[in-house]
Amino acid sequence: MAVAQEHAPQTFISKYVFSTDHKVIGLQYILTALFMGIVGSALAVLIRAQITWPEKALVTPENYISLVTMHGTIMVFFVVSLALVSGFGNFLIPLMLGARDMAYPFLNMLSYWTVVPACLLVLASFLVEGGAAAAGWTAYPPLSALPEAVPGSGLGQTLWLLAMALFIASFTMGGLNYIATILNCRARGMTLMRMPLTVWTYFMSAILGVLSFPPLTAAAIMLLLDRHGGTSFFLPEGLVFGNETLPHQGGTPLLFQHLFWFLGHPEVYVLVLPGIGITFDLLATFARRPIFGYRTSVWSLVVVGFLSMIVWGHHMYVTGMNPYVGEYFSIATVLITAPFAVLGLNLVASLWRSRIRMEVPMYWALGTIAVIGLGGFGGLFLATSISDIYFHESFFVVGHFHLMIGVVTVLSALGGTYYWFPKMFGRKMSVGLAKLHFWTTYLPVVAVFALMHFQGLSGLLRRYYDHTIYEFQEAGIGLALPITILVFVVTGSQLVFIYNFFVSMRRGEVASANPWNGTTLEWTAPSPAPHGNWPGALPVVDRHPYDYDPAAPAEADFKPQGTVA
Amino acid sequence: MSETAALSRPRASDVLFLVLLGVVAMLFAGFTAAYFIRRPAPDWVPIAIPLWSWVGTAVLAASSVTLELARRRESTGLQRVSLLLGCAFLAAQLFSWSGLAQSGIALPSTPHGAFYFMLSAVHGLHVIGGLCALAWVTLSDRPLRLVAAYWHFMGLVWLYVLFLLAS
Amino acid sequence: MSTSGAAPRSPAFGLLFYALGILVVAGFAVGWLPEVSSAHGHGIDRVIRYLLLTTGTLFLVGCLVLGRFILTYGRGAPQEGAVLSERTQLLWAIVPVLLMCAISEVGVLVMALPVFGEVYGEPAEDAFEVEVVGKQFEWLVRYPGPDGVLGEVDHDKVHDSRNPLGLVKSDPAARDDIVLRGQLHLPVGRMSIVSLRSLDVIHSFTVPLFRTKQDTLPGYTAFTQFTPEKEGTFELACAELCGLGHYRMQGTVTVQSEEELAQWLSEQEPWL
Ligand code: HEM
Ligand SMILES: [Cu+2]
Ligand SMILES: [Cu+2]
Repeated sequence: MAVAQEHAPQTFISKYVFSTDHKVIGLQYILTALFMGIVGSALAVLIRAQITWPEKALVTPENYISLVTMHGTIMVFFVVSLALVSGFGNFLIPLMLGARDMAYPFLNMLSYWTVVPACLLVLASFLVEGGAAAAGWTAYPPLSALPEAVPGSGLGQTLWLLAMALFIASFTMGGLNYIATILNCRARGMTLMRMPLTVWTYFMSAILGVLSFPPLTAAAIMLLLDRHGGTSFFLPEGLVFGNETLPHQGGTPLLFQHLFWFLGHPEVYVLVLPGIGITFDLLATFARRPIFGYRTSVWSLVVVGFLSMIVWGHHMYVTGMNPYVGEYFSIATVLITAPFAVLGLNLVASLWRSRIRMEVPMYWALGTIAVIGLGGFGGLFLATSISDIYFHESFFVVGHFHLMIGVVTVLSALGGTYYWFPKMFGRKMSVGLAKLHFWTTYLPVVAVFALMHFQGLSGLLRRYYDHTIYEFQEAGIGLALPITILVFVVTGSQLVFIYNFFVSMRRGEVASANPWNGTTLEWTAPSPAPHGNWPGALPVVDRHPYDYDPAAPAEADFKPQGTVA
Repeated sequence: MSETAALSRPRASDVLFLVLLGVVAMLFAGFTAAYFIRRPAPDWVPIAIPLWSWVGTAVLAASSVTLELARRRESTGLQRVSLLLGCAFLAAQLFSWSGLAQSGIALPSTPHGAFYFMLSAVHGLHVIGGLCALAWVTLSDRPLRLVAAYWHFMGLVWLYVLFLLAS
Repeated sequence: MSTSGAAPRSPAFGLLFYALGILVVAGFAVGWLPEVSSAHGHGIDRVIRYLLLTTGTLFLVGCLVLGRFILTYGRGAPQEGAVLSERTQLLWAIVPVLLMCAISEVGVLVMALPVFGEVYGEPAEDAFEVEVVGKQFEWLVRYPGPDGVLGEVDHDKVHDSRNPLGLVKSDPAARDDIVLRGQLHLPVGRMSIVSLRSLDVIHSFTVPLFRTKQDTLPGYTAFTQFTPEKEGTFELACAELCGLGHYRMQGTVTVQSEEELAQWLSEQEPWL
């Protein structure tokens, strides 16, 4: 049944540009995200420089809030979503399920080519009059609705909204495809309860994504109409700018916030769950024992997914929402810590009676576990509505969400890159450089965001161009310089990674089909996996995904999940 | 795909289709929430639903009937009739818009009107999508099942939108 | 190939997570919170300390266990009995569920609820009332004047320099209203109710040392209540991105004795 290879595309264009192969599309996403990540990090460095040396006035105040807004937007939607969810998701799901490709390869290609113009719009928005959007990545009206309110709310915000629309369209196509693939294209014998946890997390992530993005789309449409159609969905009566009263009336700004966070909160889980899934898979391979509590982990994921759709109001405790409603949201939100703690316990317990092989991907997996813990630790302070009165809009929040949606996701994506690189390119990445990269990334990045928690405790407010004019922010801003120095280290460290990535692609040590002695199905395919993934018949699954035995001799301590006839 | 076809799994196209309906439903759920939050404001002046919209509703209902018959009898003729009726629905919507505009109700005039324009436009875009799919299956002679189901679903969504706006 | 030969080891990781847990929890605990200066603020700080103690302990224990496991099981020795029955694994899930539900709901329902009453409950009868209005990029403060009534305002009459709040001249209650830019004076030891409005975008009224924060929404009046405990001046800032001057929406809150406050108020001229 060597059908697959005969259909392999031959020309450069059909092989690498308009490819319908899930692995090529996955890599296209990852490389696009890498590029956008360089942009997003450059913005972060500029932000840090301005905060640290406000007296130098490196940027203007209006450019500063554009930087913050675009950094957040790019990182959330065009780096983490693209790399981890769309990139690794595409690459891994068919391989781990034992499928030849996604259920709808053409839709998959369409989804990628829809997000490319979105990236271009985002980049172009820096060049337009008034500059890029400047109302925060949350784009709250009236600020985001009125060019009178801030220059970035001119053309820049329109481009932002159009880019988001394209992104949502692309992400929804991707999500539909993931769900269809997972429910339909699993190999023979691959029951749902035999799927690797990575695939489970992509499944939950896709469900959350397709259900929570549409209300944001509705909000974006209404915001566009408020901006360009003269309507007043979000704009109340009596807005005064420059002594002129605007004609709007009757709208309510809180409506937008509800619709935004109805997406915004689940989006956090859309991003972080795959990170947790990948961590589980890496952990099993290098702890050489089955995942502790596979079933309870799956159920926790489902519960987390469900709860995440009914807690959005915890971002709005001090907005003027009815405080009793806020109290409901608080009670519901803190419940999420329960399934999360189960996941955390299962991660740690998966090391119990294990036989750890400390290979490079394991560094990242272990590192990620601690960051999940630290993120959860900070989360409760923000979920409890009363303590959030103090922490809301402070650097505590900045530290917390970076750990969860920035660090957990990026660390697991990096670990995943080292782990699956052989499957992508048939070679391994340099171990020496990888270790250098790990230590110069992990230590400073955890320190940076832990220190931001301390800044938040001391009262430092976020989205501030200059903190030094306030006495109460003196203690917090004292930490700015160490943080910024560490940020420079982290940023420089990524150059090591990029170098390692591109050089190893051509010159790395050649890898076998299963270089880590892994059990999941992708390791039964050749490295690099050809078009159609398995040259012969598809694998047939006869066991759970993590059949390792730490009591067996080292070379025979694993049984692959499936066999290829 | 054929290699796992023997397994008793939901069809990929059915999954894709059902989730797509979920996406559309959530979109209109978002608008519904907005509608109910916006309505109590003091500037809410109800507008009358234009007559043309009711005509359009009848046309849309008729198109669902003809499409269902087309599916059951595998008749391309009825399929084409449904296509035409779908276009007629859109035309009726355009008439209702211009009627409103003539009576001085533009997009920004009243919030109720704004919801009317917006919801009918969003629904209309989904209908256009359905028409494209219908034209495609008609021309390429593919099975009608999912397109017909989508069409009925958009008919229901339209009834819902109308109920929301008229209630 | 990497899998042959001795398994790579790295005890450094065990120590890393020991250090991480200890340093982070210690860092949280070393007293970053600025001194609190309002009645309900003590309650907020108590909730924060409660969470620090409980979840901090959990995080620390988690890190120590993680480190311990790495040190113990990183030696490459074969391990028997790694796999537990489904039932035991399920039981091990119930432990964290109960623990977290208990810790977190005690936080919300036991520790925080009394503070909730102070922050959002019925205000004191004799509360001191004042209005604060956010606009790009300053805080406008309005006292009702001798008649004790805030007069009518009209947004069409707003003029940055001449009439920043748009006071309506024809309303007698408005004619004695006192309007100040960026300075709020409040009595010590008595509850203040600040009614909050905005003229343009969303701002957020925050006095960090009072542990108070409330957004000001255009088209809507919000309230925040608190009881300053100490005399002195405190900084007022904006905690919601409101445009390019967000960072400089500074104000001062002067807390003084009733007599001093009355004296000061009597010295202020009505705006109109
Ligand atoms: C290179 C590492 C990074 C550094 C140094 C960094 C730093 C920062 C800083 C300084 C801010 C502004 C804080 C403020 O004053 O409000 C910020 C905001 C933000 N960052 Fe990052 N960040 C990094 C990576 C990421 C990643 C990977 C994400 C992915 C989710 C992310 C998401 C955000 C978001 C959503 C905001 C809020 C933007 C807003 O306020 O509208 N960042 N970041
Ligand atoms: Cu949230
Ligand atoms: Cu502000």
